[in-house]
Amino acid sequence: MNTKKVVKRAKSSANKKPINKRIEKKEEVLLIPWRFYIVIAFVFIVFSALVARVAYIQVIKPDDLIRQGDLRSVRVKSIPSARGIISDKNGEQLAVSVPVQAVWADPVAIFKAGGFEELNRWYALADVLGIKRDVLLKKIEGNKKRRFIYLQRQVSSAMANYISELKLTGVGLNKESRRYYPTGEVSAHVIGVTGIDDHGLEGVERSYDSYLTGEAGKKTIRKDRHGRVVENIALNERKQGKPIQLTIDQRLQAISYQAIKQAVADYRATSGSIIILDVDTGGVLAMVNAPSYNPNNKGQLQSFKMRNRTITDSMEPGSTMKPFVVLAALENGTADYETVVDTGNGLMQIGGSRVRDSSKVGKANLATILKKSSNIGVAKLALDMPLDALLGMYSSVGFGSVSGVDLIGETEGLFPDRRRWSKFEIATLAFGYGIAVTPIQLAHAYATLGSHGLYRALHIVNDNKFEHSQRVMSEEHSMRVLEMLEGVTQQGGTATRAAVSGYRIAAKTGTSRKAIAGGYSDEYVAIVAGVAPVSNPRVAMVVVVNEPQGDQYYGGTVAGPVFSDVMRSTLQILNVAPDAK
Amino acid sequence: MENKPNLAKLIVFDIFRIGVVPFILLVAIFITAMGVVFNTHETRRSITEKDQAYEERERLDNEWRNLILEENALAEHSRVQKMAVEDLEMKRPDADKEVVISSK
Repeated sequence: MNTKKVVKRAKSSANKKPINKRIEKKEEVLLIPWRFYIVIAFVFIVFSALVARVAYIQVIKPDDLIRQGDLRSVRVKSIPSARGIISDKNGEQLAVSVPVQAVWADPVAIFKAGGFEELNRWYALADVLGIKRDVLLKKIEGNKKRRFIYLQRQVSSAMANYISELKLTGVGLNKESRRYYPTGEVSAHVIGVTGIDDHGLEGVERSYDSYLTGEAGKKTIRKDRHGRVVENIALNERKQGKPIQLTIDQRLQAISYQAIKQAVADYRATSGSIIILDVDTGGVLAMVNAPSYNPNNKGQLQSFKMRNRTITDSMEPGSTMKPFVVLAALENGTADYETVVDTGNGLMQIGGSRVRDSSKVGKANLATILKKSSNIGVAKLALDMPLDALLGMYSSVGFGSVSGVDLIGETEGLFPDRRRWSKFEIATLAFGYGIAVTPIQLAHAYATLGSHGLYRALHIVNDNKFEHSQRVMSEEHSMRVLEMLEGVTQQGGTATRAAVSGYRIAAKTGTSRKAIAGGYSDEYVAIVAGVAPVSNPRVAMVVVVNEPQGDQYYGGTVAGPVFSDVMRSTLQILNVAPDAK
Repeated sequence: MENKPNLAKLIVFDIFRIGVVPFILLVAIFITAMGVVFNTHETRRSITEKDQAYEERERLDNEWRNLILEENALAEHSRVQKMAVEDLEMKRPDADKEVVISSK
């Protein structure tokens, strides 16, 4: 720099004054070229070194710095997706997923940061989690070498906030989702439960698991130093779980459950079930069992409480099968409305066995046979027609096949399939022994009767409706049999206690002894199955009380009042106008 | 003195005589440069806003789900029935007390 200035000054003075040789000589001395070039060379070297470095960083090997930069600013966030809501026919929610947090600990980090130095905070954590203080500390100490243990899962947001405010090193929160069932034990069997990993284990939750389950999304973002998002880099959209609407009516569920729970308690029964079907659509309106369980409390899940007995447990249906024998006889033409069957003195010898009537009926027409529930009457009807006609009627109303509700664990019951039949076996088949059906199959059969012979596959999810229906018996026959069944609930019938004042109710009781190895036990199953109102059937209902204790065990006396009670409320809730005169 | 050229005047004159296109380009570069800065800023602001809106949606969704639970717990059928029967002394009308009004 100095040299340059001097040169300039020298030049300007040279312009004004005549050229002085001495000065010229001095000028040459001032500019020493090799120094000048060395300086320039250094400047260039430094400059090119900078350029090379920049090129190296920017072009040749930028990855490492990009990675470092990203580490400081790029964040990958998961977008949680919630499991679909299950709601009933009227849109009332039956299962809702709520975001919650899981509390985890990293014991290695904890002990690195000084262990339980601030004991008060750890005690506060134990208290809010509801764990005993020393148990929590022992748990962390016992897993000293591990990097991840769950302290508590499914903690509510409020508690999670409190925990994060405790600012404990090595304790963190993870988002997860918890399934709540607002209806509790009432609808537990239909809806089912999900496990801790949010997948269905039972009921609708299990059958429609993939439909209900969503898929979590993921987004990659860049944040600035204030934690604000400044750039969206990549986005994987989440797929929300799809909601399901059931055909279940929660109001009917509630009254049914209340009634069956009471009945099971009153008769000290092993279990009880009620199922209500919509005759016009084949939708399941209510499906309850007692005992039930609370799906919100995962600690008390026991299989005998969790079983949906309406579809898993089959029983011999007893006298509730009789209307279908009469129908088979009418369809087959071996009997008509004027047919009179002589049931004699209430005892009939078939081969080496006897069929007995509980009350003497004498000469009876079809209506009286059903009204008095005559075993001999239906046995004679069954023996008069070809066996295929009877079995054909049974299977065409749904016995021996699954109902179509698509719930896990459904059984087909036990439908006899053999070559040789003794006469007595055919007779027992007529009054509901030697065949086992589930309550839903029985209800399905009565719903078919109620829709005047149109067989529809059942469904429990609202838009799964099968428009297809199949005529399995003539309209007139089914209407006439319904009218005969109305007599059962009237004066002199066996199901008078199943009647509902103001409505015409068609119902049939059944009492069957439970089969055990080697014969029949002393335990009974009390059943009432029916359809109402007779003039324009809307619902079919089956009430089962399994193994009632005490003196009362007849279907009419045990299950009858329950049937009447639930049917009355059902018709009122569904706004069905009274049809009795 | 009167011959002394006015530098500023000359520069302006020069710009308009031979430098019009570069000058316009220069101005254009300035404008677009500012535009880029402004635009980037606006984009970031919008992205932040969108992110906040997402978070708000999450929060509201969470709240909604909790409110559903609360509503269902309060409107639980057996609870309502119990209140109706015990507190309000209501009862289901029997069929003979029902009056059916036909709409036609």
